[in-house]
Amino acid sequence: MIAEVVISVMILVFAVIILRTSFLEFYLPQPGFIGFISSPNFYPIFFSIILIILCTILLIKSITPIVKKKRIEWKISIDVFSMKRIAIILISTALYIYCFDKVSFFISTLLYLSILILYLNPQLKYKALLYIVLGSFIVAIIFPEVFKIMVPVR
Amino acid sequence: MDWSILFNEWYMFPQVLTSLASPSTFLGIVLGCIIGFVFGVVPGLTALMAMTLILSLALLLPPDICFGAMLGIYTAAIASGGFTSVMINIPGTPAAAATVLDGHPMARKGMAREAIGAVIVSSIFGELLSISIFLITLPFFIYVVLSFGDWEVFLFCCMGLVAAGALAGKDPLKGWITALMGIILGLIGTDPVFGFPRYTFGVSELAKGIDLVAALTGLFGLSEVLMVLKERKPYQLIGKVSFPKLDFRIPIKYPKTFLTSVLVGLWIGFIPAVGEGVSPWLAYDFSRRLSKNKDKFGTGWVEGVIAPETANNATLGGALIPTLLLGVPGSATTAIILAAMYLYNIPVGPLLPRLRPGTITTIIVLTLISCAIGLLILYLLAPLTMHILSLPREVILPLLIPFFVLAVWGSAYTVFDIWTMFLFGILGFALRLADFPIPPLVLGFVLSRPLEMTLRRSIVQYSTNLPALFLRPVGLIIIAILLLMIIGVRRFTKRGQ
Repeated sequence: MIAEVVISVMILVFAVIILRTSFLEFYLPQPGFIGFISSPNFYPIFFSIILIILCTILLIKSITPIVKKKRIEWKISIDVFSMKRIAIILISTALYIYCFDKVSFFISTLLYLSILILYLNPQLKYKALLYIVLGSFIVAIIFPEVFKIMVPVR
Repeated sequence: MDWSILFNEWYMFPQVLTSLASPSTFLGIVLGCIIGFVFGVVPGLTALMAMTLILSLALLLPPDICFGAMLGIYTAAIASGGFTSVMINIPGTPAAAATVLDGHPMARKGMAREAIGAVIVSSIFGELLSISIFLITLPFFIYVVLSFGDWEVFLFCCMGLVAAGALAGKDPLKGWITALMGIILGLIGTDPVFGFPRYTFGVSELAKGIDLVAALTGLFGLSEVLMVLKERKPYQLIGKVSFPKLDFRIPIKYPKTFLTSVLVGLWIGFIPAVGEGVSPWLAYDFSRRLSKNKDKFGTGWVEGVIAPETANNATLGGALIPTLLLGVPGSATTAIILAAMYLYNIPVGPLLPRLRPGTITTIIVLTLISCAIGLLILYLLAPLTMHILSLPREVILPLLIPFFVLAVWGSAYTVFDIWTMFLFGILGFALRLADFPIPPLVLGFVLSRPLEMTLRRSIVQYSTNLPALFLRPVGLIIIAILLLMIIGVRRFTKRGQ
């Protein structure tokens, strides 16, 4: 329920930004009604207005049961295990992408897989090393060779 | 009207068959089937993920190999998802969820070989019949779409978005919201008519719009990986799979169940962006109602395996009709095929049979070959099911992320696209967490430009007499269907719940 409200608000904000930008950068190719509806901004305006209406309906639908309870439970149960996992995966992936055109692709893949596989499978130990080295070799050496993909830094 | 255009694809069948008989095409299909088998068997890995990976490599491969590999993946993954349903009571792919109901009880009764045999035979024969029906009815559909102008294509796109939004998730409102979001995201970039930059916010890379490969890899690849890795759900591996017992008389033994399921698959496939997730459940329900043994359903009865497995693979035939002839994907998997067609500059839509004759037949022939090879591969690889399932998911899934990164890099050679994939991965993950369906977002994104272009062209064409646009006969029929759909959505979803 809370996730629904948060996402609805975020989409609503997105639609409002699009609508505002459309009006700020409005371009009218020819005067009159035909000019207005054939303008590049007409369709984004039209779709963002519908999006705003639908998001508002969803938001009201999601909030109503919370309001009806009268006592809002501010304490949200967060699955710490999942959140920690996702945060580590996302941060390490962001770092991996950041290093993509700066560090050797084989070394960055080796480091990235080491972090993820060892973190996600602490019980694997020596077997994990095999997966990491083999995986990095396939991804960073064989795959680019077979498909003739030029990596920025070998 | 040039009537030869209707039958041109039929005439080209032998020619296409000969041109595709090359070792490289066969190798592409074989590899596709093997990859599809692995992605189908392991819960969390899906046909979509594997097809997205091939999509990223589309520009590096010849079209025949790319489409062959994609169709091989589709055939094998959708079928092998049922193996996992039978053996460990967890569907290997979302399309195999309904197979759990009777497949696993069959395995518990000691009939695992028969159940997996039924999965293979009904999947392959279902897909064969559905694609054959598509081939036979092709002249009729070409005739219908040739009467479509820009206005009708626009209305059909709208119909697709309404249907996708309503049927892809639990709440139609959420489906429509994601579809609209997809449309708006697709509008980012230079306006195709006046060359006016829209929503680039000063970022020069956004002038060409959001890259399709990067967006799809993020939404279907990275976000799926994140969803699976979010929680640790170990599954228990009991027993082993030997070579399955194939009974090729299944379509003759259970004709009512088989034919009903093929028709359900075709129909659901035809409705844009709904696809394999929905058709097995409907086929299961219809078959149970029509069967003389309705009480046996749910207790390990073979018809309960045949119905969903036939329907999920049969969805392809129906889904390819709007995908190829109107450029509106019938399912999430055909959205990937459509995206690959865009990359190869194939003019998908009503003019496809005229501008690129033989393309539709190529896809049909590749599907037929995929079925033949898929049957063999699934039979031979079935004993490896438990070995593949014993591979830790927490090892396979992290390995996929560098593949996604490299594949997106290989499609356009810009780091910006890799960041786009990353952001779309997070977007897809966040939307899934709040139960927003992803297929309508992809449909909206893919249809965004055609939707805008067809409407703008229609308005310009009818600028002197705008009301006449609403009086075009085919358009009027589509508007009527569209209105009926909007009215019926609420009743349908209430009944569905």
